[in-house]
Amino acid sequence: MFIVATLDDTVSIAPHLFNEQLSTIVAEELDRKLANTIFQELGLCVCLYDILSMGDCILLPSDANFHIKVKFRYVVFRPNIDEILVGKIRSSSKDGITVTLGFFDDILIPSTKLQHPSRFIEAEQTWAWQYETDDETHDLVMDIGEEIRFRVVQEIFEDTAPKEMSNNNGSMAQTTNDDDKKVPYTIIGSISEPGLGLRSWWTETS
Amino acid sequence: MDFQRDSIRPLSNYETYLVVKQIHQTNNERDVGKRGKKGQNRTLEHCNVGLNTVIYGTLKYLEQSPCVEQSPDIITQFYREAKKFELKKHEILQIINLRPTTPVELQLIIEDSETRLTETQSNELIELIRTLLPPVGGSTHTNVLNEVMET
Repeated sequence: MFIVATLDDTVSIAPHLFNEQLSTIVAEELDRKLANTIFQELGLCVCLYDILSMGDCILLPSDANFHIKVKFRYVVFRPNIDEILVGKIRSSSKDGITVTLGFFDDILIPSTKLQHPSRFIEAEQTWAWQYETDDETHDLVMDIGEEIRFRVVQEIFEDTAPKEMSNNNGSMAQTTNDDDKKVPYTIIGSISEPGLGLRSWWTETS
Repeated sequence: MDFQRDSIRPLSNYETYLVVKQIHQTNNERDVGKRGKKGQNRTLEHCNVGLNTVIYGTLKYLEQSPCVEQSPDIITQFYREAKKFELKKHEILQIINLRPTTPVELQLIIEDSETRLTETQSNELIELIRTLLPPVGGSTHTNVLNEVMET
């Protein structure tokens, strides 16, 4: 679920930090830039793993800052497709269930990828798996906060960078509205297999 | 900023846990040290909200997973033993991360497990997981340690 990726960047260091050790300052700058952000096509950046190499410090005219080229490795959260993860149910709605891992919240299990057959209980706003035994059906309720095991089936990266507005005013209002909903990195999960779903469903009772 | 696509390597939960824990500890120590030093107004400089948030969340998540009980020795030993089942590398990694102990959990991780593993083999593998990989918070050693810490 976690990976290390090698990245290149140019870090700029302000003069009041010149008396600190260079590697510490570079590491801090990189973390400030990247930690807890989504890198497009890469994943959720967690923290610096190590610095591989640093170039020369470059000074530019009319700029007091150092500029330094850095090659480094970063810890990134990026589960593989088909990987099994365990999270907690954050909320449920008619569309499906959202799951949180604590540090990453944008996981959606759509209603079509729940155990079959499942139904949505309007009164309690929860989903329940209608588990059939020989003579009757049991509602296995999926409450908020329960531990859930799911399979990653799809990942969606969306560029949330502001777009250039070339159209007229009417469509501009429309785009700003869309931007609010945009999520840079969404994971689509599935629990429609034996072994998936609430952890408590599959623990051995013997 | 750019990343090299062929440079991506998987990291086990245990390795991530080590890195994250290390950063969490140094941050805490620095907080303590900062209060002690006079005349050094670095509060704003060092307040990296994004890093702290993600480190805290990741640490809390990993602390509930089986990786807290693992060690490099345990992982290499398990990897060596698990090789004979002809599993793929990412499957072994997931087993180490999730520590499945029932056949149904194992089937999820191992693709096509019905054809690739016989029932005896899959039982052997589960036995191996149970003996080599310690359970979450279950090992007696840590319980004793906690008790000592509390008293």
